Amino acid sequence: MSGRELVERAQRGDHDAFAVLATAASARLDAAARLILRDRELARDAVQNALVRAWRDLPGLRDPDRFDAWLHRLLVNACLDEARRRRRRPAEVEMLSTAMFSTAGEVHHLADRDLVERALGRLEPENRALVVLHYYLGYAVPDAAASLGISLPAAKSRLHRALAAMRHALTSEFTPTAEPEGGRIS
Amino acid sequence: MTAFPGFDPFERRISEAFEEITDARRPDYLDDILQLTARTSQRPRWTFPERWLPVDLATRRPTALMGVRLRPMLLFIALALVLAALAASYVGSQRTPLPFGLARNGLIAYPKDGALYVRNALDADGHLILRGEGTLSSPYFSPDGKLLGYVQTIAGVDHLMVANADGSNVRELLKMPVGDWNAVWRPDSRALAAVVQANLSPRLSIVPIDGSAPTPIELGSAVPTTDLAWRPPAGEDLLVRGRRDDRTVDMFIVPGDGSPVHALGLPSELLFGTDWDNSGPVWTLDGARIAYNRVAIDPASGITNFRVHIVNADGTGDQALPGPADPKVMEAWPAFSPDGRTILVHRWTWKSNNGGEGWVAVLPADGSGPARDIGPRIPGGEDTGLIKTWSPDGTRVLMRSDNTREAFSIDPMTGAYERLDWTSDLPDWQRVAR
Repeated sequence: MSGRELVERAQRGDHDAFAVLATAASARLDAAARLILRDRELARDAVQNALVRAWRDLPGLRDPDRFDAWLHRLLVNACLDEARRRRRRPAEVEMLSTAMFSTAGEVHHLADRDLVERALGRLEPENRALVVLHYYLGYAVPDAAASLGISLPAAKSRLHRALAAMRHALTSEFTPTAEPEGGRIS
Repeated sequence: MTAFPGFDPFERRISEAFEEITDARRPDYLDDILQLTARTSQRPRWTFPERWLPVDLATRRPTALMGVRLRPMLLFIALALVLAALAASYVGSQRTPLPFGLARNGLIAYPKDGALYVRNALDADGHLILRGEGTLSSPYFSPDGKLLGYVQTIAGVDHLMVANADGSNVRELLKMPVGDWNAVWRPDSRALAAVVQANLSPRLSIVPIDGSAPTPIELGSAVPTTDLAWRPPAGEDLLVRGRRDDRTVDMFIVPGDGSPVHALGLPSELLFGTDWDNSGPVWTLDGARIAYNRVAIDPASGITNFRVHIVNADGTGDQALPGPADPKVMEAWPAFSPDGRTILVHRWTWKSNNGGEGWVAVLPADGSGPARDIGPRIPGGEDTGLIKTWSPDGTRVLMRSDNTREAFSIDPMTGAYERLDWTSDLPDWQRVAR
């Protein structure tokens, strides 16, 4: 059964079909919400609000082939609502212990990840949403702009500024450590 | 330094870092949300004006309505609502079940005395639905519940047949040469994936039920085995277990979009030969992971045993589910419950171990605990030939033992069971839309 058929069935009130669609999309929705909100509980609330609204308003979706884009738009709006509604809380994105990694390359990779995560945290939620839409969910800039309800020039400008801010945050935070004297550990 | 236009390594680094930071997986709170949406009403379609009006009109102030007479308009709306209700009622009566997930229990089909019978419930009376030359066996409803596949054996030759669920419109799909074979309904119920022997070599093909020519599928240098599983939720990709020239066994995914077949790259140590490595694959309900049988040496006891593993669809993240504490107990052949929350497994001890026994058990699909034994114990160890299935609503497990020729109905919650006195084969349950 194609995704379009599932959407059409869900539009006719078939909750089983909606559950299949929601299950398939849930991992990505949860991850995107965590990136935008940087808080697991807020992300959960945002995913819940997005999915409840998706189920309620699904009969109004005109093009079933646009279901994913529509759902992502609902999620981003739910995230921005959460960000506006709740007072800011500390980030709860889990960090893995460096003890789990055995090679220098993996530790370096982990540091990369940590820095990107922290640089993302310095952006405003609206700009984080744009970055997540483009770099995580893979939307072209015009589609990301449409999802956020902003003009294409505004989206390009914001993305450029967000990228510059992240690049600056990364270069100012990441200072490579000197190799130990006497050569490399083998 | 060479730079390609439009390519910024920094941007790629961000995308990669996002993938790693998030570790995207099915959130554990999803079931709570789905329970909430199940209790939530959808907005009727007619309340969305933008469905039939351009957005700019839908959002414009309705000045044009000011001069319209109200009574004809209300009559028109009332008539439209009645027509919409009639249409909704018709659509509801035509619903078919989804190919995966929970469904309502429909008819139960089973073979008896060389013919096929159906009954409405385990305790209802059965009635004959199909009879023919030779012996009819292995009834298997299509995922939409509208068709019934079965095997007709005439003079020792198996024929793969299909009929409407009421026994009408019988036609032959395939004549099976001697040897192992298997056929699995495609989730759209319009074809089957079948592995049959041709010139002493197994061949995989998609066999349409409309009588058109089968489409052969190649796995490169590997040959298919009879392990086949369609991938939820769309049901377009096919998982096939295949054996390479060097005898190692792997799983291969045949994408529905025509892109190249690819292997998962699972280890194959051939501890029990080629028949069992990476066998019995089944998909999780979201199509993200695969549970399967792994044969490996238990490091603590040194015993070679069967255990159920689960692996991501791309072959990464392989992990063992919690197996039996006793290394002499084997555990294999996983089958997910229709709601995807429970895995039904086959457990056994070898005949060399005081004669051995076979039985079934259920464990949480998230691997949070070991399996709980349910149902009867069948003597005979590895020779019990147990096969099993879930009812579409997930409330019963049906099990059949080959060596004692008995069939059982088991309550997966309590483990209580009863022997089915009306069949000695494994019945198949029709899926009906909920």
